[in-house]
Amino acid sequence: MARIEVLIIGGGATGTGIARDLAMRGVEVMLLEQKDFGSGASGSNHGVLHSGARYVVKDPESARQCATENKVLRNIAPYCLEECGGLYLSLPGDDDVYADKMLKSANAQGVQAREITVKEAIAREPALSPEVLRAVEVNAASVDAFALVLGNVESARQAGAELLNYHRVEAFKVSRGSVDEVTYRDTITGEVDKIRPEVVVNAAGAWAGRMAQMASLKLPLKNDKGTMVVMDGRITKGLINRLRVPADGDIIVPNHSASIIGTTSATLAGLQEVRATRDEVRSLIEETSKLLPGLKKARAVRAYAGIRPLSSESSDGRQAGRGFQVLDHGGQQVDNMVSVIGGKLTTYRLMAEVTADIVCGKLGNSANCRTASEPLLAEAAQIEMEGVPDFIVGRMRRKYGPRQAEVAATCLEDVRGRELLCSCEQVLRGEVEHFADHQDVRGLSDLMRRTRMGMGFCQSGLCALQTLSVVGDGLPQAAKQAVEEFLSERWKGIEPVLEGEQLRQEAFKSYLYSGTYRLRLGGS
Amino acid sequence: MADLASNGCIKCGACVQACPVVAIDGLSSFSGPRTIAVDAVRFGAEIDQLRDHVMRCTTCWRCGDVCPARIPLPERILEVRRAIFNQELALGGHSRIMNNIDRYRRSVEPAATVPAAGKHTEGQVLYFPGCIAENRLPAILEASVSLLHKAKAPFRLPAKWSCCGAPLEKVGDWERVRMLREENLRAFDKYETLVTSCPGCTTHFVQNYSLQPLHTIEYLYEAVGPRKLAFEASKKKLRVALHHPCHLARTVGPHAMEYAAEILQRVPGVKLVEMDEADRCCGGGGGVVAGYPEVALSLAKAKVRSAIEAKADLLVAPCPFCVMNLSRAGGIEIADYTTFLNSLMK
Amino acid sequence: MRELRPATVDVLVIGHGASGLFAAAALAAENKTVAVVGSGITATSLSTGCVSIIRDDIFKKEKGRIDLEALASSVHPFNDIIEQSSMTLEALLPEMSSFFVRSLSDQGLEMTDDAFNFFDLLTNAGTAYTCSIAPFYTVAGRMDAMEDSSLALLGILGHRDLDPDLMVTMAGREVGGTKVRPYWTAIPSLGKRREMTALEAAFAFSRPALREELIEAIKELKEPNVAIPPIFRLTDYQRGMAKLCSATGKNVFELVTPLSLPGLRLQEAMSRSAGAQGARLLRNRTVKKLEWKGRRVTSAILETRTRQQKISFNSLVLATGDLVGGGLMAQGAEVRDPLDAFKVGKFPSDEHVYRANSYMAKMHDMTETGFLVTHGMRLLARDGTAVDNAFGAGAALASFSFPTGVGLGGSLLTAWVAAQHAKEVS
Repeated sequence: MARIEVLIIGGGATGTGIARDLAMRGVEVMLLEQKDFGSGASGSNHGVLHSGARYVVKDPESARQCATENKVLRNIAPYCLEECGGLYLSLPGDDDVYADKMLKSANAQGVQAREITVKEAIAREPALSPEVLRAVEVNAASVDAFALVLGNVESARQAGAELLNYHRVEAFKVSRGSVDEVTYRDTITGEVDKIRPEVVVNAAGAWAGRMAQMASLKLPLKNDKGTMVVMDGRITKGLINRLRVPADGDIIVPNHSASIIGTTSATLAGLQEVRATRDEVRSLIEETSKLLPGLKKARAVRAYAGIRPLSSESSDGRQAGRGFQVLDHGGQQVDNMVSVIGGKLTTYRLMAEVTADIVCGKLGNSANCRTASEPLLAEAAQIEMEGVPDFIVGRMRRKYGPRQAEVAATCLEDVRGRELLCSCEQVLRGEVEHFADHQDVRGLSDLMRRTRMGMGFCQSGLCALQTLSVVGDGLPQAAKQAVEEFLSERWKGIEPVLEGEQLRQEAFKSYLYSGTYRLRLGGS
Repeated sequence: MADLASNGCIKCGACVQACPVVAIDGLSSFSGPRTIAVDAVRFGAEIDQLRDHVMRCTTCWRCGDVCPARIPLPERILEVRRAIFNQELALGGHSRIMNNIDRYRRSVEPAATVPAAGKHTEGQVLYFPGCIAENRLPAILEASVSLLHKAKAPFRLPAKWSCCGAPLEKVGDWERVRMLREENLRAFDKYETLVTSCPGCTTHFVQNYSLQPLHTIEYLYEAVGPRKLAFEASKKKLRVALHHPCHLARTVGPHAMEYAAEILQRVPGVKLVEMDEADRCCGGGGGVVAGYPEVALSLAKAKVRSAIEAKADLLVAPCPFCVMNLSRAGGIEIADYTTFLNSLMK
Repeated sequence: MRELRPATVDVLVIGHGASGLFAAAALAAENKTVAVVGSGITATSLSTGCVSIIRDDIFKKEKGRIDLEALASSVHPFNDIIEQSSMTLEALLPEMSSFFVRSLSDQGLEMTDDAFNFFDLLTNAGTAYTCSIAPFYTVAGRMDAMEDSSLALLGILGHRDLDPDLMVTMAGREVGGTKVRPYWTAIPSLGKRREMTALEAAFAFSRPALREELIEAIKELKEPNVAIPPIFRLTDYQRGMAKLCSATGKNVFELVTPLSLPGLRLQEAMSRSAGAQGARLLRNRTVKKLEWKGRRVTSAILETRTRQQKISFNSLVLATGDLVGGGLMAQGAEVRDPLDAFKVGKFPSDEHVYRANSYMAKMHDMTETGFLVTHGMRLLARDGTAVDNAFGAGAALASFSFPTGVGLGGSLLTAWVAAQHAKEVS
């Protein structure tokens, strides 16, 4: 049976970050992720690179970590970020004392926060409500979480790690105080395999509790549901936060062609699939439009919900610290397992470093962590693209960073490569071609996450079939099934916003898909 | 440039399918109304990247007509042009227009001789000649004046006037648009009816000046009445194809073309033939003749082909811009509507 | 705003899609003065352009014979509506379909009279101007009768409308006994063009050089049946296709995807047909409001950018289409009448059983909403009383919009019936 030095379970930012860190230290690593990389909390959050300001009052530890780490991420993965800046704003009724506390605590913790005049704020963000009372400028950015996670995957592989998506861990065999053997299954082919790890890292996020249970351990975890709504268009230039004790509907984040508003917080009993509900959507839009009155006229494109895996120190999700914990289970029954829980996207690299340090300690590996100083992907020359509009080349640079040249090359070498495949996101056929044969691409949604096709406001009204034309028979599922699965994933996010323009959009899509190819759009 | 008005786009592609510039030039050259007005702007795309695309639009406005979500695509496109202008990225050909405005208050260089206003200095009907009729196609000015005279209209020409401002709006120069409007409103002073023979001017007066002007055709039909117009027979039997200028048929209104057809059919010896896609743009608008002359020429040639296919002897257009551009194509005789009508009107 | 001279007609039809134009043609054919008002692109243009009376997942076909009972029960809720009217499906369907076929072939659109499915009409058949896989199967099935029933799908690089690889991926390489092979060809004179629109292709291929190059490319194929993307305009089509077939010695036809708006040809043919019958088409006008007298609608105020016009009429047919075309408006979660004149709602129906939370249940909920009509196709005023002289037709009606409705064919049925009623009242 195969052996491995370290088996990492969970392919979110944390897991892939750990894989990268360990591999760069010369450790032999295998990572198993049950769906596509970044399918858990990493793929369903707000996309905020926190300045730390949101936590200075209640959670100073997290705030400090955010302040430090966001500088690191700006250094190592600039292409994953949009330096759009951020503002905290209060409205009549918001606690003025909180504002003062925030400013004071921010200064104490080294989090950049500077009060500016309301006039300045409105000049910067014309869409703001004229009722804004106070404004604080912070050093926030918006982050493309998929790009970040996939960048870690790429970097980890370059350093020699093996990472497998669509592989779910099914069972542990624990003997003599160690996880001896891990059984896992390829969820697409059904193939089952086993491996013997020296060390197991449980970075399974919301599923970390379940993994721990397989080793008869219990984790102090509390899962919390958060819903976000994607609104079409960049309604603001930068991040907007409500300047008050964190509550629902506090945040707006510009992300590529959209604005993401959120969020909610509700404790989850089990690990069921979470979906955004219409009520949540309505109340988020209601609340957030207090800061941006124009929001009510904006088009809601889709809504999504994610599970925040928090360490449970308190019963209130918002009160729970965002700090992370790395638990070395040696000393309990299992001496070769480490679990990492809690934390934030912004601090993933630090979480990974701390975890890797502990793991290396167990392995007797004394190499240093280099993840803070080395760029995620090595710089590479960008190439020109003849016959492609500049704004599309710009999109590609934004999405692929150092890998723009590779992707562009594919677009240029194929005679059809420069056709526009996705109109909403301006994605070229060659981009999809570039990723179509990749080992990680096992369904159309995987292509979507890597190229952004289908993520725009029409939610794949046109591009699913074009994408199918690229992959042909190359997917594990039959073509019709692949498209239907993809469309039913889209549907989950569309259904809670099925009103107004999106309703009309869906009616038109049904002409295209069910009318023409007799495809079912919504699954069952 | 997040734009809530483009919210309703359902990606049906009707605008792209309808666009004549896309049809002639191809999507690789002109990315089409949807990309410009809906998709590219939403990323906060650097405006200069859109320049070579958006300047190819002839402002035919067909996209706005067909959009099922009623997105004001033409207005969006003009806004992009304005943003481009504000970044000082005007095309060379367009700079000439601005120079002419500054020096002569005309969009084109003045001709050596300009037809005089003659004895038409009083009257409640104010006839506005427009830059092209005065300087490039003086036959139109003469014919319009003659028509109004024959129709016994109490008309005068303004003593002083400036370019209406329409070309400047297409270029994106809204400062000059405003200046010209203010000057003209002062110069027009008092009148009952404003008449012009250029659909570009007519449209601009409607949309930008918020006036209620009449194109010559509308005046002849509504104020005079088709039955009161008497015509001599055309010397030989003529099969005439009638081009629908975009700004007349779309912005002034379909009724204007109905009038134009009805009046033409009253001329003995004239047979109106049905031309395929009579409402497809001839390429003369939007500053494309100055900016991308080959695109304008291709569209003109396509229009001429349609007329030839309909076995027309003559292609008539009630618009000086259309006439100028179509004449570049060759292949068939082109006539301005007003000039043709006047030549046969008693 | 200046006013145009008011006009009077027997019947005003609002909506210039398939249903409106068909009602107008039917009325004009009976010597009624008809005006059709509309603006923008119609949902018909955006549709597949295929006119199936029955969705073939509901209807059980028997070769050469139509099961009228099944037909009648499948066209619910239309069936409810005409149940008590003086018409029966048996009577009206043949009459309607023969008028339809006649008036379209007069405009250059050939109809397929398929032995398998009498009412499954393909536009432009002989060639299959179709984009539905089902009619594709039908066409391929017809080729069974030929000796060599192999079919080449010839994609033209730069013309995205026929993607042979995609067709084969979706439909397989053997369709009803016919072997299908995908090919791509480059037409040199097309140069660098990409993703040509249908209009662009029609322009490009009107040049003889390109047609010659295409002919050469088709001749190189070994299959006797060849499907190409659309390259003809409606008026050009019959002549052009005949030449293509004779020059290549093959059975050539056009095959297309929905993104190239195949419905445009149907739309064009129906416009011409309505015009040929004598209906007056008033395009690019919007209806600003309707004027009433008691329980009758008496006139409509039309608007363009610069003009208003009052049109008076004896009866009205409302065929403004569904959400996609804009005849119904989604304001938040509510589906409404943009004119705010008539009652919008859902027909009571217990026949649609879908699992909770399913796509169909959710979409149904919204798209089933539309204009409500009485058994005589009369629209209801907002207070629920039947309007004396206003009739509803087409996808604008509750339960008739896609995907919950019965398609273009069903819409045409309602238009025919509405026209008969409107005729009586006018």
